[in-house]
Formats: sequence, structure tokens, C-alpha cells
Amino acid sequence: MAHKKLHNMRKTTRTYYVLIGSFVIATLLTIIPIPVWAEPFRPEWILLLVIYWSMTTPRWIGVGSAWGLGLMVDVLRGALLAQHALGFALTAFISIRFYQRVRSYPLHQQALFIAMILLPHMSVSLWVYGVLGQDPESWTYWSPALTSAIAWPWIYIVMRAVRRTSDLD
Amino acid sequence: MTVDHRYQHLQVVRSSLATATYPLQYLAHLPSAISEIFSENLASRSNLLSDNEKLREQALFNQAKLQRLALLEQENARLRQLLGSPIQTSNEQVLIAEILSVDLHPFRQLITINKGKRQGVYDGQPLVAAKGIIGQVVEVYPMHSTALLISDPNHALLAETNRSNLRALLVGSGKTDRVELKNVSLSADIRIGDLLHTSGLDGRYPPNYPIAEVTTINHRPGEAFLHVEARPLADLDTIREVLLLWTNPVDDQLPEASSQDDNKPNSVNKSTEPSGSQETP
Repeated sequence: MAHKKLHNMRKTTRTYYVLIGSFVIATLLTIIPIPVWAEPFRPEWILLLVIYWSMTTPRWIGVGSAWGLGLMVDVLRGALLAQHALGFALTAFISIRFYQRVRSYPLHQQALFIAMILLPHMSVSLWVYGVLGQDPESWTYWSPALTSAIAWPWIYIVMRAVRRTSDLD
Repeated sequence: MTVDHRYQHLQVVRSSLATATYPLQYLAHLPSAISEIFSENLASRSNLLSDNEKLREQALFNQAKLQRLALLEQENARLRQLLGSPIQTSNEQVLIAEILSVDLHPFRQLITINKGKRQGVYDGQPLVAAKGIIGQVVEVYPMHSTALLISDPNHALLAETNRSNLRALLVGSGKTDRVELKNVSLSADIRIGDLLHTSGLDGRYPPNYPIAEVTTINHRPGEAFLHVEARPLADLDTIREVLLLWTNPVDDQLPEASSQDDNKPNSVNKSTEPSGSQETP
């Protein structure tokens, strides 16, 4: 009995490590310098991870933690507090709502779904930019939805491998 | 969001979150920092020697220029004294800050520098690179701060042309190699190649620092103003190090100036113009 409890506890701490590690890597990918022309096309790594975790382990990553991560992105990008948080929470909510259906889709259909659920987040963000008078004034604003959809299958495959090898909660 | 936009209450939250994420930013910056260290350490001896020689020559040139500048400053002060107008003391302090190579925002021109409140950085502090003004600090955190480049569409400053003392608002365009002069009237005396420098009237930037060079002047039929574009003198996307400027608040004794003849301040301006252009090359 005690042995099993200990085992579960280890499992829990391991899950914490993997979660935090994955988000650290995603944050690095978000801020690491890339050529200027490629900047608008950078996938929303952190948001993709939020979607992945909220689909696979909804008891760990939900709307609340998505909000927290969104706040971090706000500060990183010098945006208004809660601008990204709102979109992140919204995305997490949608993906938790639909995860049972989407999980059984083939990967390319999942990618389409990702592109679709990124749009509410980007719309909210664009709306806030518009109110502030910081309009991006370019169609490339929407390109992360596309590049994120392209990045999704790779994230899915890599994260599935990570999850299986590290035997998470 | 409204609270954050309008009031200062959330500054603590923002500041602590930013400090928490600073290690991540530093981590993202590390690869380029390391590669720089390597390229410095592995430079060949002959390269170092030639660099050394070049720098020594440059120092000599700069010193010669500085001598002339000191002379001109003295002369300027004397002339001002003769005219009875206040002498503008420019006690400027600088501190070198390193730009962290992280991308913050795809549609805004923000940079992170590795100096913060602990080093005395303040909100709105001007940043200068070797060739000209590059921007101002917009967020100060304990260890680092965020600055807005002059090429950001939300950045504006009051610039002045070197040749004709024409003042106009200089607004960013979103591209690092272009800024725009707004509301320049059709009859304004402006030419391609004119040098723009800070006017000091916006209350943020100290006067007489070079900013940009006029590259194109267009008149689109039907528009009331000229469409003027300029290229920032500093290479905004390749700079690694910047200078943080501390300037003593210039005592703008406007009441005194207006009590005298209106022509006098103008003539003083003209006499300072050569010294302004001496600084720039």
C-alpha cells in the first residue's frame, strides 16, 4: 500500500517536471531570435502545448493554468496584462470541450482543428490591439494559425513519445 | 486590461512576472552570446592587430574632433553669454547596456536590455547607439528593461533638420530601416540627404543627437502634406550594445526668453547649428 502511494507520488513529481520542462522549451522557442522576415510566421508554441496538455491530461492543464501562462506571454511581449491570457483561457476551454472527439481524428484533421481554435484567440488579441491603436495592418497577423497547424503533428508525435517514455499521471 | 492600460496598480504584478521570466530570456540569449564570445576568443592575431590599429586611428580622429568640439562649446557659451541667454549645461552621464537577442513581439519594435531599476534606469530614458538615437525605455524591471525603438509605429519624437531647422514629428513605420516625417508642409525647406536630429522639445530626448537621414520626398497629388521618409542612422536590427543617457533636465527658461526680443533665441539657434553638425559625421 505504502509502496503504491510512493510510486504515485513519484509519478506526480515526474509529471510536474515534464510539464514545466515542456513549457520552458516552448517559451524559449517563442522568444529565440529568428530572421526578421520569419518573425510573423512563428507558431504559437506555448498555446500549442496548452492545447496538447489540455487535450491529453485535462486534470493537469485547464483554463486556470492557461490563463497563468497567458499572463506570462503578456509580460514577455509587452502586451497588456490579460490580453493573451484571455485568448489562452478561451482556447483551453474549447479544446477541453472537444478533446474527446478531436483525439480520435487523424493528424491532418487535428491540424485543421488547431487552426480553427486558434482563431478566437487571435481575434481577441487583434481586438485589443485595435482598441489600443496598435493595429498590425498586415495579413501576416493571421499566419501563426497556419504555421501552428503545420507544427501541430510534430508536437503531437514528439509529446506522445515523451509522455509514453516518462510514464506520466 | 483596462486597469493595466490606465492605472499603475498592476505594475507590481507585471514587474514580478517579468523578473520571473527574465532567466528564460537570458537563456534564449545565451546561444548568440556564446557564439560571440567564441568569435572574439578565436580571432586570429593578425586580425586583432589590425583591429587594434584601426581603433587607435579612430581614437585619434575622435580626439581631434573632440578638441574642436570643446572649442566650439566654449565659443557657443561665450556667444550665449553675450546675448544674455541662459547657457544650456549638458551634464550627460552614460551607461552601456547590452541588448538581449530575444524576439519579443512580431509587430512591435521592442528590445530587452540587461540594465534595470537597480542601475538607475527610468521610464522614458533615451537610448543612443554609436551613430544616433535608437529609442526609449518603456518598461523598467529590477534587473532588465524593455525599450521601444524609434521605428515602432507607436513611437514619435520631435525632430529637427540640421540644415534648415525645420521641425516635424518623426514617427516609426514598423520597418527597422524606415521612419516617417509627418505633416511637413508642401513649401517646407527639406531635401534628400538632410540630417535629422533631436530637437529636445519633446521632453524625452536631449537636443542635438542625430537620428536619421532623409531618403525620399514624395508629393502625392491631392494630399496636403509631403510624404517624407528617412533612414535611421543607427542599424536598428544589428546593434548589440546601446548607451543609456542620463541628462540633467535642461532648464527651459521660457519666460526669460520671451521677455527678450523674439529674434534673439533664433539667432542663437543658428549659431549653435555648426556645432550640431560637427557632432554628427
